[in-house]
Amino acid sequence: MKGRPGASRLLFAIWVAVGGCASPIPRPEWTPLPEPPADSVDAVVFLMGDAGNAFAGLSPALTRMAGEAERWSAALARDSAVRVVFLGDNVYPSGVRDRDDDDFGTDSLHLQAQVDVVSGPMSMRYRTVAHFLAGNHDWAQGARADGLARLRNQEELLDALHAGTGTSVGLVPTAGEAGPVAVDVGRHVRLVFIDTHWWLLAHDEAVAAEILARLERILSTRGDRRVVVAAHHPFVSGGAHGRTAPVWEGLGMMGLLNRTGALVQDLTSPPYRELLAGLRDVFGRVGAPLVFAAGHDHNLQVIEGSGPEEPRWTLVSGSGSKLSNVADVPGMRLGMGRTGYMRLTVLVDGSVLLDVEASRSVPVCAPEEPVAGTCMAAALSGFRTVFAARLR
Amino acid sequence: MAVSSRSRIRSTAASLALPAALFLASSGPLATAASGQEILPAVAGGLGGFLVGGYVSVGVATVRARSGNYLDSMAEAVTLASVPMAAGMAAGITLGIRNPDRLGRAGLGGLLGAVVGSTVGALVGRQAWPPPEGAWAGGVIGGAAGLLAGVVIGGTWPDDDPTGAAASSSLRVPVGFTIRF
Repeated sequence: MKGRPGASRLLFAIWVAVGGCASPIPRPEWTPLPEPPADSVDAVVFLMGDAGNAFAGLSPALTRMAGEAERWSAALARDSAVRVVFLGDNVYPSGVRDRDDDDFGTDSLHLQAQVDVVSGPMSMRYRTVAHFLAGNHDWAQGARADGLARLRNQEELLDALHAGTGTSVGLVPTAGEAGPVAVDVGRHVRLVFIDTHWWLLAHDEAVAAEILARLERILSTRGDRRVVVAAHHPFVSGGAHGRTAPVWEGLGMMGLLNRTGALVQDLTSPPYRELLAGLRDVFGRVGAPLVFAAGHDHNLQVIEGSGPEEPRWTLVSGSGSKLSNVADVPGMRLGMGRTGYMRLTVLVDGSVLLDVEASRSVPVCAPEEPVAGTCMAAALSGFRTVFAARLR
Repeated sequence: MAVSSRSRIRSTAASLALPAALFLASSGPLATAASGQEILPAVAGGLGGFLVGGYVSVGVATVRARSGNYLDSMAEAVTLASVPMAAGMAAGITLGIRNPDRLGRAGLGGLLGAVVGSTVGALVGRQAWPPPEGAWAGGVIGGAAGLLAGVVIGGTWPDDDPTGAAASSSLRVPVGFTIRF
């Protein structure tokens, strides 16, 4: 039996080496909220990011969200009272390629799967809107010269789908514009869309100042509306892009590049830091938004802010078609590497309720029958509310 | 604003081509030691060269990032590092086979250079750029520069006998012993 302590020490050493720096996430503490009656609801906003690997009928989260969008559209029965926000990385791996490219068909199918969320009869009847934000992959990750062209392709494809099917879909901000763009929903909510990848690419102080000035105007004219800022890059995150990686990660390469700030998609990079500093500055002057919603990290996170310069809540909903781990960060109320989405329910009295729906399933089922049917059935039946809170 | 990834790879490859060329040019005649004795230095050289290539790539990527050319993803980083790592490995194996003494000096020089470079770089980086990434960036850049310089200087330091004959003969000291049955 003498071998056991040695084995334990070895296991501990491996644990320390592999995950010693990742703080365990506490069990989320929450109380289920009863679903409000439809006549007390002003608007409903669904949040999902990084769905660019999904195919129609093979993505449990998209199928589930489409059903929910349909149900809420019927329940509210008002024009554009239900919104779906796709938080970027709508088409993996590198945005929508040109029409003469062999992969254009696959890219189109990924986008079509998301457009289908608002193509049900009730969603069509009550003009449920799907807003598409650009993410780094939509900008042709790693190929900056092509980035804008790929984004324009996506915009054109969305416009074509809108024209062809009548669905209310569109890219916001428009391709090549950083925003922010404000869209008022119902009586109580102002959605603010920012293309944060545009910022990370720009490195131009004059342009950055202009973006922040526009954001400041939008926030300072909000009145008593609850502001939900939607961007691809999160304000804070315990996921791979948000945390400080252990030095040895990725044979040391990933850890060092993360710590030196050389990876622009990580929160440690100077452009990302400048973006956050600029946002903090604006929030400190004119008041922070209620919610900063983002994707980028492929998991579900609810993080409560502290201080006047931070959003009251940061929501990361990036498990639309990929999954990754998450570690604890200050203020984290939920951190979960499961496929799912979030729903904001805005009541007529101005209250905002958050529901996080998730399943333990794979994010995208294999296409082969009958496996696909079994996988989808199991995944859909596995959806649960894993967190709920009254945000305001 | 952007530089193509091809030119990025070229610039990194160039940074590793120098030590590789120096090793090949200066390693002298092939040692006549038995093949079994060549394996260990070759393996050590290959591994060391691989790590040197990787670390120098990280340093180059950090320099580029600090001048505004950031990496978009880890995949890009791996692409960037693949050529220097392969070149470093090839140079290390070659040096290990041809002249293990120089390999040892290159390793010692690299270690010394990395320690000194990291320390100085971290101090400079902390002053030059905002924390906490500034100190890390300086440390990695300095460490990579020191490592590369140390490896090159150590690896090209002239042998006592430029022909390498002394080193070769020193491996063949006869040892006599008796086995009693």
